[in-house]
Amino acid sequence: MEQSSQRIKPLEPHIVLFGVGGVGRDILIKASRFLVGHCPSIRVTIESVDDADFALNEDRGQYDAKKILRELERRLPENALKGIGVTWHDLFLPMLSYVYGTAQVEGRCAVFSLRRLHPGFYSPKETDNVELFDCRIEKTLLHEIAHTFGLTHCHSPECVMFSSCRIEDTDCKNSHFCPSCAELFQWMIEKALGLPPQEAPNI
Amino acid sequence: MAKKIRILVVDDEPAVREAMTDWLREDGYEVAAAASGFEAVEKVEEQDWNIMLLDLKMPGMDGIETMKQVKERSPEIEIIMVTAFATVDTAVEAMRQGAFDYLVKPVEPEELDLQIKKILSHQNLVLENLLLKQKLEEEFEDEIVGKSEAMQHVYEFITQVAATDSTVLITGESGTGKELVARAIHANSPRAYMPLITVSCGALPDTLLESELFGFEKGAFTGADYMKKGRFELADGGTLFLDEIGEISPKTQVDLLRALQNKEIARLGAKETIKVDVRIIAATNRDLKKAIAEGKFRQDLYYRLNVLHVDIPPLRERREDIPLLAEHFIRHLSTEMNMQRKRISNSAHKQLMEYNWPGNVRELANVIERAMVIGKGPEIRPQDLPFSTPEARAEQTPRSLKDLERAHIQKTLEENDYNISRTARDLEIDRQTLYNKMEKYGLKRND
Repeated sequence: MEQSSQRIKPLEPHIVLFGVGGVGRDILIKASRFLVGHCPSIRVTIESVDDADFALNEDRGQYDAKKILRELERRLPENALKGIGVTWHDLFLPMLSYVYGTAQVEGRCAVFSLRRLHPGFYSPKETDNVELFDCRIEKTLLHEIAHTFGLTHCHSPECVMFSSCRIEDTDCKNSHFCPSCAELFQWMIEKALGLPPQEAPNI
Repeated sequence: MAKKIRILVVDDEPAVREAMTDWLREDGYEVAAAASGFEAVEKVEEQDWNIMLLDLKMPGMDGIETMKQVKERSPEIEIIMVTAFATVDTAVEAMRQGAFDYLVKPVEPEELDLQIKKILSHQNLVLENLLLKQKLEEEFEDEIVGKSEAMQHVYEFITQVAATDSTVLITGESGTGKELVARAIHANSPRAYMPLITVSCGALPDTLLESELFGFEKGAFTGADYMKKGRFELADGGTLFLDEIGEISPKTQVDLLRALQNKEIARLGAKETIKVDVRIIAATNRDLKKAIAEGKFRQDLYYRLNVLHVDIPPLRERREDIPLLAEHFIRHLSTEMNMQRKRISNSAHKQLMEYNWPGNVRELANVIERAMVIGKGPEIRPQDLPFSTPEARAEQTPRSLKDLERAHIQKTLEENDYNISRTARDLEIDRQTLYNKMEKYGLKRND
């Protein structure tokens, strides 16, 4: 089990980043840095789920996102705040052709796929566009983890919580929240960490 | 908590039900599932739903039969039929039976999202029109009535705060007259000649409330075919009354707090903000301190709203005002209904004074109206009152089904502060049906 620089104390709240079905260490470290950047009050640890065949649907050639979520939930330590899985496998939900990711709203786990975020999926010329890939990873990671803290989709197309049904939606939005969602995210984190309500403003 | 759009997923496969429930919740919808057509029909009978995702091929009752039965019970629910076994015949039959759309599994997420948003856009328009019509037909007295010491404090409060621009929070049980107090504050303020705009926060689904408060730009979302100013802009220079403030979602709380702090708003889909000069009056019958302790209401928003606070006493704490109020309603109703004014007999007076009035002034108004309509003679007598002696109660028990229905609807309206959506939900009928029945029985809000 990978850990951040300091050993996690038993009761210290933390987020577990799972690499599912073989994800490179460099991507996981990058993703953990994105997470820490947006949730500085929470530590991030890295774990691996080596084999995701339990979620494979052979007819579709895709992996069932819900099954992966259930496995992450099973593996998530009790003292962990949230768990988020990252995988190269193409994800689907029954009824839908594919999903970029899925999350338990106000739940514990989320998962997203790198496959349809990779620029090369859409154009071979873009295969080496690392900057674009990193940007999409950061946005999707933040979007999904925010769902687990209770945020739902935002109307604002520039907010990272805007619903991304197409890759263009992901590319158009920012890698941060709109002011309202930022405030809400902060509030939800404080609640999750058991911090006292905000002090009264000076009026 | 805030109203949500309600979607029912009907599919015999557990994996589909679970997956789609979670996926739809990401959009903030309230989602439930049914494993069969029979269960779907039961759930439709129990509660209102905005949308149904309905699998075509299910054992027992198939999707087409389920849709027929659902539409009989709840015609306003929109159904998206989904199937892995698409044929032209089933598609035509589904659309003929009233499906909004027919999608083939596996569905493109973008396509499903678009259809849902189209349905909601249409339903929001219908709801807006309904609320507007209800508002136009509402009757309310522009007059607060009461000489009790408790009400003297309220009048003093109104006088003191009206001249200021400070935010006011009005609390009190349902039917105590919170909106009347808000109107009185506005009418006595320097903003009296500017608009007083009211928003019933509990009556609107969260997504619609956001666009109502802040407006939207053309193209901001599916169905936003034109620019619309929100209530903040419409109230610019005047007063914005936010009723049932305790019902708003966390997201709307954040947006509202920012509007109050920065005195500017942004329409949905807009890049720029708009300065607004609005005096806020908010009202609730909820215990906001309890909601804060439960993590459901933001403390910082509470402090922003609670700059000046008045609690309107329940009617049972100012019984000395009951005769005055009763006379006031008799006077008003006799003019409105073109009837002779009635006296109140001594024994009826005693009944009115002893009753506990859980519905407060609104309930009193309805009791007086009922007594005026059904009572015979020039006096309102105990037997004309719904809560008098057991004998009178027995005599006054509605005999016909029509009377029973009217009495039950009225009671439920009072319990829900005349909130149409909540009342319809409690009565297990759709909003349009409730509205029609209110018209039929002449049930109107009197606060």
